[in-house]
Amino acid sequence: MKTPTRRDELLGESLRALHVHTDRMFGWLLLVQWGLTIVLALYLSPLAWAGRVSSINVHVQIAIFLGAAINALPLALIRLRPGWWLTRHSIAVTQMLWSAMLIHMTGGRIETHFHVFGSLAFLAFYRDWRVIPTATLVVAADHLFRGFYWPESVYGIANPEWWRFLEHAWWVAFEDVVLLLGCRRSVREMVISADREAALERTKDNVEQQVQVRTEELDANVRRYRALVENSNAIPWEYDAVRGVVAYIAPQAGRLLGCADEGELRAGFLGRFVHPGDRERVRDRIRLAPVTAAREKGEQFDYRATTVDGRTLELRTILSPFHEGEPLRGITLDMTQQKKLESELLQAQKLESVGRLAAGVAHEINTPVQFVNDSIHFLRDGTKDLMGLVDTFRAAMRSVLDGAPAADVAVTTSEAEASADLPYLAEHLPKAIDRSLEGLDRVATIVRSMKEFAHPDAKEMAPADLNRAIQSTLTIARNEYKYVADVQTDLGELPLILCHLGDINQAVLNLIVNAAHAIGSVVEGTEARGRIVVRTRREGEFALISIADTGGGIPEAIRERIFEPFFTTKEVGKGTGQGLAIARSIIVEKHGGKLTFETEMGVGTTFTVHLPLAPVGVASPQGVAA
Amino acid sequence: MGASGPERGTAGSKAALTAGVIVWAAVVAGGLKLVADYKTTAGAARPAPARWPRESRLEPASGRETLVIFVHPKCACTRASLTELNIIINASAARARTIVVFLRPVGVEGGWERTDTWDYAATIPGATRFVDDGGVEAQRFGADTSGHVVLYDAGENLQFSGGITGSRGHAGDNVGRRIVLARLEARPADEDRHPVYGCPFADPSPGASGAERGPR
Repeated sequence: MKTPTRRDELLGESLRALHVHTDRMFGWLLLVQWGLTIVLALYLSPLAWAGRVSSINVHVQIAIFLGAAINALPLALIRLRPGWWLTRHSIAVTQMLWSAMLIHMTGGRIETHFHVFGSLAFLAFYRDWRVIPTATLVVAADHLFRGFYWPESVYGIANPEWWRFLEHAWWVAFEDVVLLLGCRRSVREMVISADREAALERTKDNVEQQVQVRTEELDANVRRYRALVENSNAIPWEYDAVRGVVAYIAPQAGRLLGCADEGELRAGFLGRFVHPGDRERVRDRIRLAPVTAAREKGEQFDYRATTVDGRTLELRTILSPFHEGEPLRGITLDMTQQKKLESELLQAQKLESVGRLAAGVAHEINTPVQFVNDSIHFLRDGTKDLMGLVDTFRAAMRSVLDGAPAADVAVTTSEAEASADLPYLAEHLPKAIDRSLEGLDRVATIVRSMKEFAHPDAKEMAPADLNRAIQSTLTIARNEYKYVADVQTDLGELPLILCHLGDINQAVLNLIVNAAHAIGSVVEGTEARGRIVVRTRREGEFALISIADTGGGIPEAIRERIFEPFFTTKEVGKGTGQGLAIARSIIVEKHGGKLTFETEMGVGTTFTVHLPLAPVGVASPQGVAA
Repeated sequence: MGASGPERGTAGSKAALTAGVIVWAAVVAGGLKLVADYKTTAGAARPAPARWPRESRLEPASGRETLVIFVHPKCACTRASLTELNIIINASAARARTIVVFLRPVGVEGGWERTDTWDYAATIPGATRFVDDGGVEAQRFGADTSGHVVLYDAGENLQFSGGITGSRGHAGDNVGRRIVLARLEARPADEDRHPVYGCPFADPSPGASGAERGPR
């Protein structure tokens, strides 16, 4: 036996649904026909009369009881076995019986014969050609039988021609042929439709399988990315700029801040966890990002946050470019450890600088100390001579009192005076004192500069005299440049700058040392000396510090890399490659300023620091070559 | 496709179904047979007088045929009989005097006979309506069933007595109509008798069943 295909199954299902549906339609039609017959009987002939006496007309009884009997079988089958082949055949028979009844009741009116044609057309709804012959057989039998025994009831005339039933049969057969062809065509279309549906199902199955595979892949990807995102230290988040709320923040934010409630975290991130001192600034940055320059390129800014247990964290937020209709996105990094390391590195570099400068500083101190020492020795000897002269004068005075001749005493004291060289002492002793004081002052200046330079910064910025700081830095760095260059300062008038002064000192020192090294590499082995020009001036809301050298300039090939950590062209032991990287970090990231340079090979390089007079602590641009 | 539908039943249910179908067919066939019998059972009829009775209050036409139909005004079959009468009148070239006699039994109130058939009779060309109090005229002409027609020629001789419908309440071609038309046109007819189908004029006999109360 052939295994039914999916097409066969679908066709079977469609036909069965069609048969059940048509059965039910016929069920209603049978009931309606029955009801109408009763109504007509009640309307046309409700009563039968015998003289003065009336009774229910037999027509009414026929309509009720015979109608019920005729409908009984098909209605029972429609109820119990909808869609069954016998059900529709019983309906075909019954429907034709109703036709016969109606034709009979109307005295064989030709118009009533249309009920036969209508019923056959209705039966064609089954698309089962077999019901058409069944119905036709009933019609034919009825016409043949009644045409023979009671022709008026079927043809409307008393003595029709013998072939009259053939005429009626012909028209029924004609419709039968049309309906049978229609049924065949309809079923063929259903087969095609089932074919298409089966193909569609196969396609759908394939698509669903693919969707399932893709969904699983997607789920795996989502899980992977979620694991990556939620287990990294970076905290991705989304900010709904329209509603002004944090729409999503990765759960590691909760771990970082000690807040397990995601809702509270989202609602309170800006309001509660960002440090009060930075809150307004951070809120403005995020709120205004879609309408500021950050919209195109994104930006980053640092701020502090406070954990639930009161610890202060250093955070950095990096905003992605904003796309209209989408939330603002960004990531937040915990920079606490890095900042601490940076601070330690800075301090280490500072100490390294101090250590490296120590020899030069010692030398700088040694020179004044030596001539202070010489002067003090001269003072000691001069003082001894003076005290000897004083003793001579005291002895002369006692001799005069004792009556010694004044002339003798005068000779003695004159000789003593000449021996002590009093005029020389009178002239040089004050100078020796002055030289000592000057030397001590120079030592004090160097020591103060060192102290200022090496003094660790406070956490908060403080107003500082930038020119004085530069002078101090030049002082302690003197030994680095004095053999190769002269320093020229042109320090303009500057207001007090709010900054981390120790860090600024470090940055300036690094630039001066670099300038000295650059010049050194040019003048080495020659008698020539270079020049370092340090200028300061105010330009708008910035204080500018420029340090120009007459070194060899920065080659084109390395200009992009000079701010990279550990990048150096110096020989081993002379530089660690941290100087410019740290200077950039201090100026740009810590103070929100700019560090640029201009260079020309064979002419020299000028580094320019732009420090904001009122820094906002935000940094986005890199140090760049002009 | 013949096997489509619900699952096949057990042998028992098949037998029950077969029995059900047979019983149904028998009931329906029996019912149809009863209907046919009812429709074709003729009412009672006595021979009509061969000559126009002199004592009748109905007046025969002078020098032409007189066609009289006796009807029960409330009988459902009366309209079919009047329809056939109308067809006959219209189809006949002869100008017979036509009288439609409506039964008014004894003891009923006045206007009892004024029904839709009374109105319809007025539309039949040349027809005269006559109220037959107590059914005296019907008795006189031997008419016991509604739809009974008598035709007398110009010499007041009986030409036809019987019905002009093919069965109860059925208008349409029938032998009675053909006989009357033939007689009116002085043509020979194949038959000369046709039963009357309609309601009886007499009240039912006490104790008679519904079926027995029918035509007598």
